[in-house]
Amino acid sequence: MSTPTNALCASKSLEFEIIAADGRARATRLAFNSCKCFSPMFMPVGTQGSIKGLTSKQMEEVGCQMILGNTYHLENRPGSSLLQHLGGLSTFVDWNRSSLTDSGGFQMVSLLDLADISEKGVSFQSPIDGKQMLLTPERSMRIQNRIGANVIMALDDVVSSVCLEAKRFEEATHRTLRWIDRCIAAHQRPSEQALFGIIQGGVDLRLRSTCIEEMNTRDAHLPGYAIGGLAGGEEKDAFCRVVAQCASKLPVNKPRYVMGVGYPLDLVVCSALGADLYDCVYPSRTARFGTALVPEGTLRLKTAAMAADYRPIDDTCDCLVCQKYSRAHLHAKITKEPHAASLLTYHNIRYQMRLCDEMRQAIISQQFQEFVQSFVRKQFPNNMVPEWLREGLSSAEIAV
Amino acid sequence: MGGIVWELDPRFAPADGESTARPGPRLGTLTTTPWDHPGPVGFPTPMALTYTRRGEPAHLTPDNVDLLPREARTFHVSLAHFMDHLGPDHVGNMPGGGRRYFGCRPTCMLVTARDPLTFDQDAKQSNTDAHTFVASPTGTTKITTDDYARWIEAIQPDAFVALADESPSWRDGVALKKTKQASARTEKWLARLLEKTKELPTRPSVFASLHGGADVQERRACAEGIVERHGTQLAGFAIGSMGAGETPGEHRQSLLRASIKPTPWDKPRYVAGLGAPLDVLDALESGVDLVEASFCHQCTTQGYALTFPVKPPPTTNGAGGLKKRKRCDGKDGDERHERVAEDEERVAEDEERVAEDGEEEDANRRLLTGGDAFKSNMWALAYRADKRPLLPGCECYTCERYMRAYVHHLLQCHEMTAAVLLDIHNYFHFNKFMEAAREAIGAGTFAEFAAFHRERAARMDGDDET
Repeated sequence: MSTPTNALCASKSLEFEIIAADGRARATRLAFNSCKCFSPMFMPVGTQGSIKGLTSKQMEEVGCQMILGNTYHLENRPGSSLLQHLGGLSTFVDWNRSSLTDSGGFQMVSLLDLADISEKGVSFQSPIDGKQMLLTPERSMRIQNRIGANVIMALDDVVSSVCLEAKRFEEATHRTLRWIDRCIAAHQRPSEQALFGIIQGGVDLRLRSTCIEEMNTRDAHLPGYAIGGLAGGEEKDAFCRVVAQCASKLPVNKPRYVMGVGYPLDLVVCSALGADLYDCVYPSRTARFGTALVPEGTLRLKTAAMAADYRPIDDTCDCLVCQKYSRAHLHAKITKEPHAASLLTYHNIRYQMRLCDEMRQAIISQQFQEFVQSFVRKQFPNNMVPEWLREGLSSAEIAV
Repeated sequence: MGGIVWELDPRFAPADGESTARPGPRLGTLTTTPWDHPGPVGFPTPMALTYTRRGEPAHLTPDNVDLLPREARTFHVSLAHFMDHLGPDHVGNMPGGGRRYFGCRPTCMLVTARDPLTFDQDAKQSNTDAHTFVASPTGTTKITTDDYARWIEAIQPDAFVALADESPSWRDGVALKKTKQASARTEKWLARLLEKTKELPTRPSVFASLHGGADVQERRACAEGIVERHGTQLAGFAIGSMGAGETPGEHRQSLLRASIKPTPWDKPRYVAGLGAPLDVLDALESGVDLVEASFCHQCTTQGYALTFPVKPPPTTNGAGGLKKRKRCDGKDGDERHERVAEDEERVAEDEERVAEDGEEEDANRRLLTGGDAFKSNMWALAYRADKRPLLPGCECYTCERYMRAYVHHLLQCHEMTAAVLLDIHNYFHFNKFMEAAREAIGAGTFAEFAAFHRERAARMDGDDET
C-alpha cells in the first residue's frame, strides 16, 4: 500500500527561495537535503551515469550543480535495484551535489516505434535485447525512488510537438493529469525527493492552460513544475509563446524547469520569460562532432580554416581548454582522438555554466535587460535578429 | 631548453680502476628544463614514459594527468601519429614554438618515428637507403631523414631517437646481409640527423637506435661502430627492434646486453616495446634506464585494470599488509609468526586470513573472468555489483572515488569515461611498479623483486614447469 504524501513532507524535500527578480527573470536558490543550487541553472545530461568522458571532479570544477540521469536507461543498465544496493546514483557515480532523474517519458517520443501507450502506462520494447518493459506511473516512481535523485519527474504522456493529431494532444493532456495523481500516491520518499509535475499540451495554449489549472490543484504535493513537450522541432515562435504562457501562469514560488532546453540562446530567452532550470544533451553531443560554444554562437573546429588558427576557442573563457589549447590543435584531433571530445565537452559545459552565472549576476544587479541585449548583439551582429526572438523577448519586455 | 641530462647514481659507477660498470639494473636521474618551468626538473630512473597519441595521452586531459605521479608527465611521442595532411608546419607555426602546441605540457618529451604498439606493421623489408615507413593514421607513410628533421624542428622535443631501419629480431631467415644493410643505413641516417639538428635553437638530445636483428654479433658490431664514430654527439641509446616476438628471458636479454655492452656507462638506455611487467624486468636486468608505458594504454582500451601487487609483501611483522603463508622461496610463514607476540599474532592471523582469502578469491575470479596475474577484466559480469575499488589499497583518484561496478557499467554502456578512469588507475599503478623497482635496485634486492613477480605469474597463470 502506498503512503499518501502530504504538503509537509513534500516541502521538506526542497526549500525554494527567490533571491532577486528583474522583469520576469528570477535568480533563485533551491536547497535540497544534501546541497544548494542556484538558478538560472543548466543541467548536463549524464544519461547512463556519466557525462561523456568527464569525471565527477571535472564536473565540479566546471561549476556543475545538478546532473540529469535517465530512468529508462539506468533501469536497463545497471538496474535501479542494483543501484539502490550500491548506495544510490550519487554514490555510484561519485557525485556529491544534486541530481535529477526524468521519468522515462521522453523515450516515448524518441523511441516511439517501440512504444505502445495505454491508460495503464507505456510498454516499450528494449532496443538492447528486445525485452518487453511496461512503464507505469507507479513503476516510474518506484524506480526513481531507488535511484535516489534529489528531484524526480512525474510520468507524463508526452506527444511529439510536431504531431499533427489535435485529439492526441487532448488525450495526452488529460492522461498526464490522471497520471500525476498516481505518481503522487506511489511516491515513497516525498521528504527526500522532490516530485515535479510536467505541464503538457503541445503548442495549444488552451490545453496548456487547462493542464496548469488542473496541475495547480495538486500544488501541495508538487515542489516544482516542468514545462514539457517542447524542444522537439516545433516552430520557435510557438515555443516562446508556450514558455511565456506557462511561466506566467505557474506558481511564482515554485521552480520552473523547461525540459530539453538547450541552445545558449534558448536558455537566455526562457530565463527572460521566467523559467529557472534547463537540461539538454546539446553541449556534450555537439562537442563530439567538433562544435564549440562561443559568445558569437558556435565554432566548428573541423573547418579547414581552423588548421592554422592558433587562438584559443574563446579568449573570454576561463576553462583549462581555453587556457592550454589552440583551435589548430583541436582541429587536428577532433573526431580522431577520444581525448579531443573530452576537451571540447569540458569547454562546452563550462560555457553553459558561465552563461548561467552571468545571467544570475545580471538579474541580481538588475541589469538583465542589458545583459540580454549584449548577448543577442554578439550572436546576431548587423542587427539581423530573427523575428521569433524579437517577439519572444518583447513579451518579457526586453527590446532587441 | 637544451635537451636532457642524465646522471648515473654514483653507487653504480665503475669501481676504481675499471672502465665499465658492472652490468645489471642501475639508478640514475634524468633532468630537463621544461619551457614553462623556472628551472630544471629531475626524475629518477629507471622510469616509464607515458604513451601518447598525437603528442598527448590518449584519454587524459591535462588536469587528469596531474592526478598521476609526476613521472607520468614524461611522454613518449610517436611521429607516426602526426603523419596526416597537416604536416610539420601546422605544429611548428604555433606562436612561441611547437612546444606550446601541446596542452598537456610534458616535463620531458622523447620523440621516435614509430608507435610501439604498431611495430609489426611498421617494419618493412622494402626500406631503401633513402626512406623507411611508419604506420600513420592514414596508412603506411614514407619518411626520410629530411622529413624527420623537419618534424623534430617543428615539435621541439627534449630528445629524439634517430630514424632507424628496424627489422624484427625474431624473424629467422633474415639474411645477415639484410641485417648488416639495415645497420649501415641506420648509421647513415643517424649521421645525417645529427648534422641537421645540431643547429636547432632548442638543442634536442639525440639517442642512437642500435640494431642487428636477432644476431648477437651483429648487435655488438652495430653498437661498437656507432659509439666509435658518433659517441660524443649522443645523449643516449635506444635498443631497437625489441618486443617484436623475440623469446623473453635469456634470448632477449642476450640481444639487449649485446647492444648495451659497447655503450658508455654514463649514458642512458631506452627500449620501446618491452612494456608488460615481466618484459620490463628483462629490460631492467639488462641495464635499461627508460621504458615506455604503452602497456597501460593497451590494457585500458581492452578494459583491463592493472591489479598486481607492485612488490613482495612486507616480510617483517607489523600492522596491515598482505602476508602469505605459502612462499615459493622456501621460507615458511609459520616460522615468522612464532616470533610475534601472542596478541599481535592473533590480529595478524585474522587480517592475513581475510586478506589472503580476499587475494586468493580475487585471483581465482580474475582467472575465471578473463584476467591474469597482472590484470583484471572489468568487462566481466563478476564485477557487476562489486563495491570495492579496482585495486583495494590503491591511492589513485579512480580507486579512491569509484567502485568496480561503476567502471564495469561504463564499459558495458560503451561510455568514454571508462577509459579515462582506467587510464588514471593503470598509469598510476604502473608508475608505482617502477618506483618499487627503483627501491629494490637501491636496496640491492632487485633479484628477489624480479623473482617474486616471475614466480607469482608462473604460479597464477598455471605454469606447471615451476
